[in-house]
Amino acid sequence: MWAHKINLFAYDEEGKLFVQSYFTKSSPCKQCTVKLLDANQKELLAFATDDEGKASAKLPSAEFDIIVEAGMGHQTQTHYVAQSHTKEEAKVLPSDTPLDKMLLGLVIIVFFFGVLYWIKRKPRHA
Amino acid sequence: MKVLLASIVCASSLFAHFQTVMTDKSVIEQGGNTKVSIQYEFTHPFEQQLMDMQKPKEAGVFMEGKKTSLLSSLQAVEKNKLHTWKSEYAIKEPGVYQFYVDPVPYFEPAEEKFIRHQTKTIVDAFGSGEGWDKPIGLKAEIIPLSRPYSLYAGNLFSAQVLYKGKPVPNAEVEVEFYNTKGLKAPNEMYITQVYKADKNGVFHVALPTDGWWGFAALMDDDEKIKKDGKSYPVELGAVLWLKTEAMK
Repeated sequence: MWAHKINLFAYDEEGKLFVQSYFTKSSPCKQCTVKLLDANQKELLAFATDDEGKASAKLPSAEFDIIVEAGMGHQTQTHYVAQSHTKEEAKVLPSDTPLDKMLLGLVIIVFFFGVLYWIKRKPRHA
Repeated sequence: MKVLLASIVCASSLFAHFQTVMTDKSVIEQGGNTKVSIQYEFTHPFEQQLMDMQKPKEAGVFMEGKKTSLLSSLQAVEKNKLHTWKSEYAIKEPGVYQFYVDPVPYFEPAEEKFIRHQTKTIVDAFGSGEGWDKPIGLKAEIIPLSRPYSLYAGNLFSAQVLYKGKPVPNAEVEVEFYNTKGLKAPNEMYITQVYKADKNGVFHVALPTDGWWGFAALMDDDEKIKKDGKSYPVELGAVLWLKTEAMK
């Protein structure tokens, strides 16, 4: 069991984080707690591994720490930089939200009628 | 005078030939670069005197019972007009990876024999910790009894010599340091260290400095190779390379 050293293998694909934790390859860290922490060590997400020592979750941000706890003070921690986390996933653009689209539509309508009103009013001043 | 000169030349050319397989890293950790660069040379490691190496018969990586050929990805690297080879392998999952090469047998005219060194080195990815003591299944192979990566300079290294999967009693094992430090041997006897295995083919070697160490268990193969109508014996070598690090 190599002095109960916990090992961690993590990768991400298409915005999803995959974690595998084990003592040795054939000895998985079963039902172990996985925590994702931000730069201030605030917990972003917590979940557990399955009986194969595997777990997955949606990427909470582009960078974070991963902690795997196996009880009795045994844990491992690593800083993780995601490869498949995009800015679009991190920050949804305003024009993509339905509310903002509605507001934009209203502004366009008001602008259109404003221009129309200004054109029609002009001859009266002349 | 001519006889004396010939003797001196002969004596100074008795360095051991070693096939090498060396990687740019022996341990891969989470967050690190997972691409492994592998270099293959036929050389005199302590003297750093290269020999020409043909494209090998086989080169690959062994992980959890499965061999993957790297032969098609091999690229020739010319050094002093002599060929060495390199390849790369991207590791994608935890495991112990054994990089191996089976070279084209080299004919040594001075000894009237062919030399064939089946060679490997071992890399751990993400703390897998299992499989470094598993045979690849080479005809001649050294099986580590000490974990062959993450060794300190000064550690004792133990291993077992196999031929066709069985221990080789009293196998003779040559050991050389891949001397990129410019170390000078007190005399030529120090260049190649020689050890004898016990009746189970087990040997033990202390590794006094940090860097790459090569172990070559040499044996007479049961096959001969024909050249110019004549049959020549084959010196079959089970070769293992490992890297020690300084304890700081």
